[in-house]
Amino acid sequence: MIDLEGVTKHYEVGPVLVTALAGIDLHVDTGEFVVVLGASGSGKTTTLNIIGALDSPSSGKVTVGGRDLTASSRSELFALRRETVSFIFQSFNLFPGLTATENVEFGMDVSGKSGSAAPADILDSVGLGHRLGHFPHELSGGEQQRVAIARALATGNPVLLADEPTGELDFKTGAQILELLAEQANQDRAVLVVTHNREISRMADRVVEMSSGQIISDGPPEGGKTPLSELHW
Amino acid sequence: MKLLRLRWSLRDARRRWIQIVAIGFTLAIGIGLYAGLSSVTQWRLVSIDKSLEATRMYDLRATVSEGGEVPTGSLARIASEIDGIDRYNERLLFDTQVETVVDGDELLVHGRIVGMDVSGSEPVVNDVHLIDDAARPVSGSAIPQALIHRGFADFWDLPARGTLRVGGGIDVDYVGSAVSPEFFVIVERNGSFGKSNLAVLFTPLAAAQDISGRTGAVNDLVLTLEPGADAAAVTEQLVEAAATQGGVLLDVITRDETPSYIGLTGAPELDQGIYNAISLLLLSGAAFATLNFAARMVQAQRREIGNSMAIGERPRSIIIRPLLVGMQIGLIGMILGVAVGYAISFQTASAAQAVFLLPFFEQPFQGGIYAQAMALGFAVPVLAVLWPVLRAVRVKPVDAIRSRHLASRGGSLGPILSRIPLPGRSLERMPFRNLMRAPRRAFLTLLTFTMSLAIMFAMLGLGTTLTATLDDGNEELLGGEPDRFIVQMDSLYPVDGPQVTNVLANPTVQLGEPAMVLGANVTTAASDGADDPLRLDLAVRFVDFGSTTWTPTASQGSLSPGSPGIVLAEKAARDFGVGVGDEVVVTHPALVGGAFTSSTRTVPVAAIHPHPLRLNAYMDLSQTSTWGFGGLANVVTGVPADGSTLNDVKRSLFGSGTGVALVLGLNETFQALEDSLESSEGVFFITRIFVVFLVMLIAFNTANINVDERSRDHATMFAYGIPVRRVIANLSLEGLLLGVVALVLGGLFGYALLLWLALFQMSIAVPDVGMIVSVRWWEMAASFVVALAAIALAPVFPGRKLKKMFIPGQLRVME
Repeated sequence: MIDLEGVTKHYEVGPVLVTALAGIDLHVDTGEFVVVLGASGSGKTTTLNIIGALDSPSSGKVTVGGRDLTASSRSELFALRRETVSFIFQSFNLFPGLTATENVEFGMDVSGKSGSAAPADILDSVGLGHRLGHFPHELSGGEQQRVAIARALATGNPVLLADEPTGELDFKTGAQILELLAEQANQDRAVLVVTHNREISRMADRVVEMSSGQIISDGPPEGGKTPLSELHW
Repeated sequence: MKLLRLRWSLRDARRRWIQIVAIGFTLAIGIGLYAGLSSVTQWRLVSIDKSLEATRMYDLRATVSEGGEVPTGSLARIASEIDGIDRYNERLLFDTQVETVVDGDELLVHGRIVGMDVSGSEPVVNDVHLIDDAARPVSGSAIPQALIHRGFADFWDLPARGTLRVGGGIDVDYVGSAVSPEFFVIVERNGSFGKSNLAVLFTPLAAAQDISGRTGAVNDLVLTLEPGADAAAVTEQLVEAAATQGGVLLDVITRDETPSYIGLTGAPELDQGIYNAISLLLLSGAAFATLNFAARMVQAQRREIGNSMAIGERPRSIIIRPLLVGMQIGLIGMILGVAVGYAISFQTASAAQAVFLLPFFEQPFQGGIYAQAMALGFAVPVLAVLWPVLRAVRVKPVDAIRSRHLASRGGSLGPILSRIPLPGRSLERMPFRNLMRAPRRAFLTLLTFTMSLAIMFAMLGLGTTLTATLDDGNEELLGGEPDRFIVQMDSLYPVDGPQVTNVLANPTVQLGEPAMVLGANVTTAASDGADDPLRLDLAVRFVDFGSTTWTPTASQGSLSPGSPGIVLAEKAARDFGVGVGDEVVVTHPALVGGAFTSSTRTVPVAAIHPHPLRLNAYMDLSQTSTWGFGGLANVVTGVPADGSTLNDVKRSLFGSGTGVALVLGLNETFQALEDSLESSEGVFFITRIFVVFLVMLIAFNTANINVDERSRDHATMFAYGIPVRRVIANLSLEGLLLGVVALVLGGLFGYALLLWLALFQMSIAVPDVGMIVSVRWWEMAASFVVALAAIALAPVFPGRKLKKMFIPGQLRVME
């Protein structure tokens, strides 16, 4: 589902050339729940942005859902984001003018999958069946993130990209969110979660650890996949 | 720390310079229009004073009455014997017709020859001021020489020198153009003449005497008084001496009673009322917009303010940076405002110069007015930024930092409005939702659009109203005959006498009807005993109400032949507060036993006519006998006979020696008014341009600030694959929603404003004219479409910012 071959990314910061990614290779299949782990500045978010076509690599090849992003036009990249990948952000990024239901409808509308499932059902599936008509400012942080997940799920897209989805949440709420994301991998989606929290990585199918723009390890979590109930923040 | 704030603020300015300049310019339009329009009266009065002083306008003017004349020197001799007179000059004035060819077309207009000392050899009362390289006319040349009035020459674009033909087929060489205080503005009581249809010629006295055949005669004396002299006493002595020594009656008027002087000195202050209203509205609109935009710009920094509070910075220190932004906007507003003010001043100056034909036109910088406008311009953005900052510093720092799901709550109305169910897809609902969740912000933006559109509506409507008033007035008098004319006799003549019958029988004339026009002072019967009842001098025209050729239109009541009633203009009836069936008290001249006397009678109002000129009143021809003028006429109306033109009629009748004083096309009736309105129209035009520009700026600023405020929303939309064009379309739709509502409200308020300007303010400025409020809907619709298009297209400009957005950067902004 996701293929990165020799991907580099350089930024020019004044006269200095900063290397964010130094030629990484990564392959993620459908049904995989992958955690990209790394300290701040390791290149994990850049990787996520490139997979989600929010940013372009300086060199290398990126294929998502069978589409070569490096050879795609601007409008094709927009189409990829509508039809193939969905984002979940650390700061939720819900539309403040839309209710929880409407935010979920937005996901459906942009992907053209309106009517495939009722927004209320999707919200119900993330435990927010009782908060349908609420606006983001009327929801707690955890609830907002669950609406964001529901919005991403509503697109029906096969790739789910989450950037520090629990960063703003307490342990209990964060755990619930991770559980939700993990479930998505079981529903034939490729789920990629970026985090700096090593504990989270223990519940992943696979952990990709990055440092200084390079992948320094790629494999199952140390000590194997751990159930959520055994995680400690 | 202060230096850091300054550097920081300058960096803010560099990052947001387009926004700061755009907001500053919005303010500048308001400041400039206010300063420019408010300055008009000041510099017009300065110019008028200087021009009057340079040409020594008379304090008193004595004219031999009843068209009489006296030998040259006789009036001067009388003046020399009266104490208190400083200077005096004799003149000979008479009316004529002036004929020339302009661009191959024959031009035949009414003329007035002013025979006076134009040699320039000594200071002359009511002197001429020569324009550019005009020469001084000399006496005794084979062809009489003259100076032509600058207004007429400019209007018809006549060459600097040339030859004209005056009544009696006499050629006159004009050797340049000039102006004189009596004709700084061409205005006469009946409003018939303007600069285009009155050719004033200033000739040496001897030349005027030759042209008119009045050798050695004068009929006019102009004089200035010594300081402290009693004008009334001098007048009394003049009249008495003329009667006893010369056996003639003198009509004496003061400078203040001279129509042109009244028009000249009264108009600026009256016009100022309208300019003040317009400029204050525009300034309010611009100030309001600035207040809104500057406040929104600072509100976007609330998180930074929260951060500053969290690290313990004192509120007064926090305020500095936003305050500097406000000051930058104020500074730009002030600088650009002066430029806009000057642009407006030049426009009003050139418009005024077209009407007020002054030799000196000065525009001294009105420091006080500009300082006032600039102070306001500086204060508005400063206050605008203070308000949100003071609000922000009152919030607990922890809330300011944790603004993520607290900031977008909206006011008390927002949550209620947000729950209104809307049809359509989520993306389609978004523009509505965005407006509903921040109703106060939407309302402020709506208000700024509404104010601008209301002013635009009123300005357009005012232009149409002026045109409609003139057109409707002409239409009423012409009765479908564009060349209908009026022949003014030089005295009262029997209807069956040779003077009148010659006009009626003239081969160029058809459908001729004798009539009588008499001046009358009218007041309402109900005002008896009132302290200061309204009294109007009206021109009562006696026409045959049974005529099949022309009668006034009765918009209320009816015209009955033989009826004793008076037909008043709608404006006069409104001012008097009378309707059909009410009574008015008419004091009029009466002819009793061959002598003129004055009589007062109560007359019922028979009908109301729609002609906008208040002074036009009508009575049935049969009623002339009740005033003692039965069987007499002093005017004849008619239309040119088949195959004849109006010029043929003028040429044939004038100078035919049959008592004809003037032949005038009735479509020229509004000429003076048309000329004076020309001045206002120019100002209205440029005001409209600035208003359109203001709407565009407001639209641009709104879109720009929306893009800044919603950058994270937009980044999220992009992350979900929504194309930039769709985001712009949503912003456009949001603007359009406000625009359409503003259009409706602006139309309603604009119409109310138009009614106020046309019926109230214009009524003060031009009391003799009843404005016919008219709106040219296609013009209005076209302007509104342009305004809506500007509002809808405004988001295209920040579209570039959207296209260049670094999406990941915006998505990770924690707010």
